[in-house]
Amino acid sequence: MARSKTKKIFWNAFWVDNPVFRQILGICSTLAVTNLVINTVIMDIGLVFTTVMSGVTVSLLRNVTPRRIRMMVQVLIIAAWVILFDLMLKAYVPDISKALGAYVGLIITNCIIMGRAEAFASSNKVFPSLIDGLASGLGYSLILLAIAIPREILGFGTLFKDTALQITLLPESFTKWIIMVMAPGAFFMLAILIWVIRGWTERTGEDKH
Amino acid sequence: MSFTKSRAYSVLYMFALSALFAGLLSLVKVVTAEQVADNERTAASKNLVRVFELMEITPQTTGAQLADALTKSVRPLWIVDNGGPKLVDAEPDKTATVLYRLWLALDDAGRPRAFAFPIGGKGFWGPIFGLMAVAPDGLTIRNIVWTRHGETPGLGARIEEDQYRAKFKGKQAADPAVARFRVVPEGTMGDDPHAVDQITGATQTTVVGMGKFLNDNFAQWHRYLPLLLDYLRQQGLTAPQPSTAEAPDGQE
Repeated sequence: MARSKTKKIFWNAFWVDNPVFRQILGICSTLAVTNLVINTVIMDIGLVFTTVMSGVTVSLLRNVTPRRIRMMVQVLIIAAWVILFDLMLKAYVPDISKALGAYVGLIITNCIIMGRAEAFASSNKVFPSLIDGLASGLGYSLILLAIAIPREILGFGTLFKDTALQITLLPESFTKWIIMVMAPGAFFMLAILIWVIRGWTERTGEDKH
Repeated sequence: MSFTKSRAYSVLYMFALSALFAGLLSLVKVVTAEQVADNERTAASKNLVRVFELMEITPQTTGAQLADALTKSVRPLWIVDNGGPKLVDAEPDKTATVLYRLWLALDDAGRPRAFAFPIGGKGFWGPIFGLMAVAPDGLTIRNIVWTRHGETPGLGARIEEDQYRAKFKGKQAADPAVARFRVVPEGTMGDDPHAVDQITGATQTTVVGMGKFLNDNFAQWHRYLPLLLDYLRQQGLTAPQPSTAEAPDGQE
């Protein structure tokens, strides 16, 4: 029983109510960091870390937090975990920290985190909040990677460009689609992805909304 | 009314939670401070190596390789306030007022290969800092690297991309005193030696910001060029062709 409930929480947050293609949240960072897979992976790790930690913290404090200041408390908690993540990036992966620039700090304003804290963690126990935060973060990550991988391959011909993990997939003779690593490429990819996924879920009857 | 429903509780609660998180973050900052300082030193070395194009930097390049390349070819210089600007090649003590930083790159024969100086100004989201290398003629840009900025990834942050930075190479100041570089719509700079393409979608970064500070910084560098030429002569290094720069204030 408990297992199927956990599974349902996970599946709802990960896919049925996916933050990006269903709720259209977190679009700013979705568009901005997906021109390189490595930036996307780090952003994803940051978001998963923050949704999990803020969900757990908000849930832990839910019975002692005065309702009238709960939003302020949630912002404080989210900001603290994001700053902590930023400090870690600066210390241990400075090049990625530099590449992501303002976007790490802007995780604080990502609607997904605040949305899950207010809609779920503030009224649920710690473990379900952890699962909800993890699934929302992973749902966001899945879509970002689905956008970033074709963008980097078509735009640069590589995966994990400028890192020790770099893989060159397309030959030098391939004319790079520069537009894919520019802002319009992100809009095209996101729109195509939303269209395909929502069309598919409607057809298979998964769309219950 | 119970205490937990009072305003005083809300205030105390917020204060306590803020103090708790502030303490946690301060602790992490102290613990990582040494690592961050080390990263900054490595980044500074990388920037100098990149601006002078001394070697190719890969993810495997070590700090020792960078230091070796810099020791062999680059001489750091300072312009200090000594009742007027004075160029020194030994690191000044902490009481000295440093007016400007310069780096001189020498080729294998010991001839000046390029000079580099810091540049900086206002971007869209905040200040942008970088280094510019110029040829020994003092007018032609050899290279440019950005060391710090907060521009939007995918938009203004594209100033860091190799293909955009390459557009600055070979560009010349039309007038050393005021530089007169122009930032023009993307794809229109052609062979104009004084024009650099903007980035479409990043007008605030590349036109409003960079267009101004490129000229301001170049003009500032040119005020100190005569001191550098004097230094080269004193050191017996082959001096580059002097340009039409004026001497800095108070200097012959």
